Amino acid sequence: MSDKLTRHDIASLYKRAATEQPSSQLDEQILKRAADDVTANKVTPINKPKRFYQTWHGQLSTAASLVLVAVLYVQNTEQYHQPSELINKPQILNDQQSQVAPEAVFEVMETQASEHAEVKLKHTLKRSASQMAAPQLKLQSMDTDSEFLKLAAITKSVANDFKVIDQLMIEGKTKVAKAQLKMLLTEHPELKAHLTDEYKKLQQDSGD
Amino acid sequence: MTELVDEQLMLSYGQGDVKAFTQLYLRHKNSLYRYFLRQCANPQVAEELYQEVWNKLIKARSQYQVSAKFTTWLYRIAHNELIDYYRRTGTQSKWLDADNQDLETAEFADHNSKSDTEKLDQAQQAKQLKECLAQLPREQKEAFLLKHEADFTLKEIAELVVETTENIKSRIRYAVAKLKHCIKYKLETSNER
Repeated sequence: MSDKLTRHDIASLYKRAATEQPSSQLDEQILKRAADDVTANKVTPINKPKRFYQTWHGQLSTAASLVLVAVLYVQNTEQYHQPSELINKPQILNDQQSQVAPEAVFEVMETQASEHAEVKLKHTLKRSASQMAAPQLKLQSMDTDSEFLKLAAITKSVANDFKVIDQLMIEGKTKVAKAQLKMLLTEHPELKAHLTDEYKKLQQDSGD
Repeated sequence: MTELVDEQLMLSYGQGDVKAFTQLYLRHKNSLYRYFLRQCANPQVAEELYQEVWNKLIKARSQYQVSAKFTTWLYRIAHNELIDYYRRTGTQSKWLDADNQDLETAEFADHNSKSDTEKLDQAQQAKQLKECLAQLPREQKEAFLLKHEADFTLKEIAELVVETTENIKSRIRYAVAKLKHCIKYKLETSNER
């Protein structure tokens, strides 16, 4: 049987022959050097994880949360203020140049509010704001439909009251008209500052 | 328990995990030591070069990036250390022509020698192999060691020593052929005695 060594034989022989190892002293020197280098350079140990606020994503997410809260607060604050101001203090414009009777405007408002309360009433009120001569309501821009409806309801009620007062004045029932006006101004004292001369005169009249 | 790969261990050591280095060292120390031992005439020189490779690795731990295999990086440092040593000591003349196809000029028995019917002890053969390996030309020897100690492929060896894959293939082929002849020659010589 011939001993013809194959490539595989050579590889096996070499693996059998490869038994040398570095001395333990040499091993210790190298391992010590590796440990000393870490100690000397004071690298952050990997077994001490950073806290959330020390990481970049922790800081970024905290900042983003604060910004979001601030934006939401500002937005909601504006919303809360505007509608409440409008509800509690409706402003009345006194347009001296317009000759349109206030009751005509309010009739339009009443009709359209019953049909398509929200959208048409808003449109009409905005249009009427530039044409009113008599006490009228000016609406600030409204953010929510529900707040708009509330204001529309109050506007309608006040408009009706003035309508009644006007009717009484036409009929010559000045005393009754004055009483109605007094009641209206008691409910809505803010209207006093914006009364036309006609209503101011009614207030001063002794009536019959 | 899944063992971490070399690259992960090195990255961990870069972050300060000394235990990771210990694992890495134990995994590769013997192969790297023999790589130097086979290629240096003096064992002390082999130890010095071996230690220097680990020192360089330790110094570079913070900058380590996984751009290649860890073993490629390790043996590239080792290869460069060896080259520098040869240049310093002027031992490059120990090279023989790596692409020498003239096997008859080698100091081995020719292929026409009578076939041997007796088997030597495998341990003895292994010893003879080491002796024959020491006589190989440096480049053939290194290619053989990188294949059998570090388990590199031909392509990886070629990239490491900056040679073509074909050249590396030739070097290993000639190295194996010479080792076969050498062992056979020694076998015949010992039988004749």
